[in-house]
Formats: sequence, C-alpha cells, structure tokens
Amino acid sequence: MLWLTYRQHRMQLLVTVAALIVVGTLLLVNGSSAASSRDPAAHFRDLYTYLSWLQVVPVAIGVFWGAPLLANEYERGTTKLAWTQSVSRFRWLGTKLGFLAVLATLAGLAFGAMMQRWLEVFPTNRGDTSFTNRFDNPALFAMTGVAPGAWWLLGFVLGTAAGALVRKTLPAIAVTIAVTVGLMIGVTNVRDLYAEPQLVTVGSGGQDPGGRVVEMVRDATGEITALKILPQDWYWRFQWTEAAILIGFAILLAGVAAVAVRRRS
Amino acid sequence: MTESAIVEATGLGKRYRRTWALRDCSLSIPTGRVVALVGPNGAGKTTFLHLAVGLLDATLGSVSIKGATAFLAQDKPLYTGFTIAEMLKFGKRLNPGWDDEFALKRIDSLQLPLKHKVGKLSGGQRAQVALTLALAKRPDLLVLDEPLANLDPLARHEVMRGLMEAVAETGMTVLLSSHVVSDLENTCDWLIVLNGGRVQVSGDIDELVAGHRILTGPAEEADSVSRRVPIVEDTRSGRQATLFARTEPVPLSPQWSERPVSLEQMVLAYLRRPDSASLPRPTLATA
Repeated sequence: MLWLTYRQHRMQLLVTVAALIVVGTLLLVNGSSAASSRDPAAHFRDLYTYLSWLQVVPVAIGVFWGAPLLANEYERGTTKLAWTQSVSRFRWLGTKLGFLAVLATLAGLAFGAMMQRWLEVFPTNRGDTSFTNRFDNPALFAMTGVAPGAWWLLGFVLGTAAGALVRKTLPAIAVTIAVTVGLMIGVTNVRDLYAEPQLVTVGSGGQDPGGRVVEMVRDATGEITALKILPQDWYWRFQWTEAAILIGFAILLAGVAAVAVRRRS
Repeated sequence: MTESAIVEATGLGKRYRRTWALRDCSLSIPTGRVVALVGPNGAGKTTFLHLAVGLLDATLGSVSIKGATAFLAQDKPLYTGFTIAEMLKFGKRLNPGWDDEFALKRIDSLQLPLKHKVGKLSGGQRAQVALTLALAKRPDLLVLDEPLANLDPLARHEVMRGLMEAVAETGMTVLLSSHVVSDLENTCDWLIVLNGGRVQVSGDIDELVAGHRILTGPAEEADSVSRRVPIVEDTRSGRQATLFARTEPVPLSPQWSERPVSLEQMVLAYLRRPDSASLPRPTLATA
C-alpha cells in the first residue's frame, strides 16, 4: 500500500520537494548577503514581496495533493479496482491519507524551519520591526514555527475530505480553495484571541511594553492609562495553540473522509 | 442436485432514492459454473454484481460468496499512468494469493511489453491486462461486468478465449453479465435473466433450452393448449397462434407443430414478457 501511495502521488511529492529546495536556496542566498549588508531591510523587502505569496501553499497542497486523492479515483472508476483487492477500504484510505498527511506536515515543518532561520538574520532591535517580526506580522506567523506544518496538513486533509464528499476533481478543487482561503482569513482574524492580553499600566518613562498592543485603555479624560498587550515571548504559546486548533480540525475532516469512503452506495 | 452454491442471494434488494434497481432477488449459483447474467440495459445487472462483490450495501436481504473473489468492473479501470509491470506489482502488493508467475506468463503470451503505459493500450489490450490482474489473484469466483462491451469482434473473441482457457485450467466459477446473448451461447452453462430489477430465469442452460418449445397452430385451439402448459409468450396473428411454452414434449392435435428453441429466442421471449418467470421450484433445503 505504501508503494502504491507513493507511485500514485510521486509527481506531487517530487514537485513539492523541488519547490522546497528552490525556496531554501533563495532564502539561503538572500539571508547570507543580508547578514553582511549594511541595509538588511532592503534585502528583506526584495524577497518578502514574493515570499508573502507562500502563505497560500496550504491551498496548493489541498488542490494538488488532497482534492485529487479520492476524487480522481472516484471519477476514473479506479475505486472499483482498489476496493476489490484483498485490502480493506479502511486500510486503503488510512495508508493513503496517513502517509501523505505525515509527508505534508514534514514538508510544512521544513518550510517553517527554513523561514525561521532566514528571519534570524534580520535584527529586531532597531527601527520598525513589526514587519520582520514573526509574531506581529500575521503572514510570517503562519510561515514560521510549527504553524506551516499544521496548515499544510489541514490543506491536504481538507482537499481529501472535499474529494471524498464531492467525488469529482474539479468541484473538489473549487471547494478546497474556497474553504481553505476562508479558514486562513478567519484564523488570522481570531489569532489575537488565543490568550487574554496582559494589562500594562503606562508609566512616566514610557518604556517599550515588549509586545503587540491590541487595545489602549483610556480614563474619563481620554488619557491613555494602560495598554493591553500580547508579549513577544508568547510566540510559541500562540504557535502551539494554532497548531492544536488546525490539527483538531484536520482530524475531524479525516473522520469525514473515512465516513464518506465507507458509504457503499 | 448436490452442487454446492458459491453465490447465494436471499431477498436481495437495492434502492437508489425512490427507485428500486434490484428487487426481491433470490438465487444461488452452483460452484464450477460459467454463469451468464443477462438482461437489458438498466435491468440491475451491475447493481447485482456490485452488491455481490461488496462495492455496494444492500437495502434489503443479503448476498454471500464462499471463497476468494476477483472482480472486473465494466469500464476496466486501471491506473492509466502505470506501466503494465507496475499494474502487476499493484496486484502483487494488494493480494496475498497473487500468482506472479502466471501473470507474467499471461502478459508475455499476449505479447504486451511490461514497460508499456496502461493508458496507451488499445481497448482489447487493456481488457486483457485487467483480466490478467483478476485471474492472477487465483480466485474461486471471477465476476465480470460486461467484459466484452466496447471491444471489437476480434478482441471479444480473444478475451473470451483467454477467459475460457483459465476456466478450463482452474475450474473456477465465473459470473459474467452481458446484454448480448450471442456472446455467451457457447461459453456459459448457467443462465440468469434479470429484467426490471427482478430475476426472471435462473437455471442450467441446456435444461432450460430443452424445457422450452415453440408451438404453432390454429388460434381457436390456443386457449385450450395454454390451459395445459405454461406459456411464456402468446402471439396471435389472424388464425394462427404461436405459443412460446415452458414444457416438455406434449401430445398435441395434428394441426399443431412444435419446434425447439435457441438460447437467444428463449431469452428474448422472457425479456418481452417481464411478468413470466422460470425459476427453480423451492426445495426443502432452502425452505
């Protein structure tokens, strides 16, 4: 079954590996020249313009890995071939889904680690850092740490579940794009709610609160008395929260796919 | 009488939304037979076969198969991007009883190069590869859904010959569906006629053919004849009546003539009259 899964999907796997190598090379070249440059921000901007598009990779994983996984088999009638061998439907789906889910997650984690290493080149202690900051910049948050692993996994499982329900490749792709993009926008908007922000009273010194300001608290006269902030060192806490939410969702969708495949009608 | 059944269906029914694709289907198929499942398009043949091999769940009743089964679906699905060698590897990896030697020998005798992509084969070659995949599982029962559909006459012959060779070699039971009766005339020995989702005929072909006659005689005497023998089809034209009767030779008045029927004539007579049936009488064992 592992061989079959690899053989059926090796094109997607090879393209993904090649893309990771290309992105990694770009990051390496850009990062090493930025490290020795007087104006690293320019180097950052050069690459970031394109890199920010990589946020949509989970959608691509859903479209190229997930949606065709079952929809293409239903469409071509090869489910009738696969399900009449001496391997149960459950094992068939489990191997396909499990093997590729692990690979999608690993690929996402590798991408996150590469992005992470690249960002470390850029100093965070001078000028406006919110742009290069992996916590404050929502695009970077989703492309660093464990979040990309979870997002790529979710994209894949969502595409698979769409294929299992719709049973046609093109409509499954459409559903995958719509739902994944919707989820990405939705999750980005609720991300600040993962934890109750810390209340920091504004002192006379006006020192750096050390985090992202989400709300300003004013007194009756309109004077700012306190700030609600999300401290920078909550990055990992937020990363794991997001990963947990996405993985939970992916497990749910895997269940949906399994129920859809078990239906014999 | 002591032939054991390899397929046994009791009260089998399948409903899609509001329409019944198959209804009240009870039959048993004896081991070692080559069974023709015949019926017009939409009669429920594919539904019955899919229920038998477990691709569908029955709405009512049940069907069971004793032994290992191989299935060849109507469109002969194969992974088009695979080579023939990879298709065989698929069979090997997914089936513990796989006979690799047999598979390689059969592909070789068909003069198909193992490196060829399945998607580039002709319809007949594709059918042969799909059949090889099914046969190399060494099944006790081979189920084929319209194996000859979309094949040219030469390919039909080749596929059928390959199938019959395998049957002769292994003695497996074969259940194949078709809507072309002439394809089955010399190959099958058991007939099931399915019409409008119901089983109309099920039995040994030789016995069935021997058990039917076409009686021709004056129309005014036809009613008295049809009271004596079961009539499948009754055609009157002016003064003459043609009765398609399910009967052994019967004594008739000299104005009547009787002639034997062919398999095709018999199937057509039943298909034209969906309300008549020729089923084995219930035996005590299955009561």
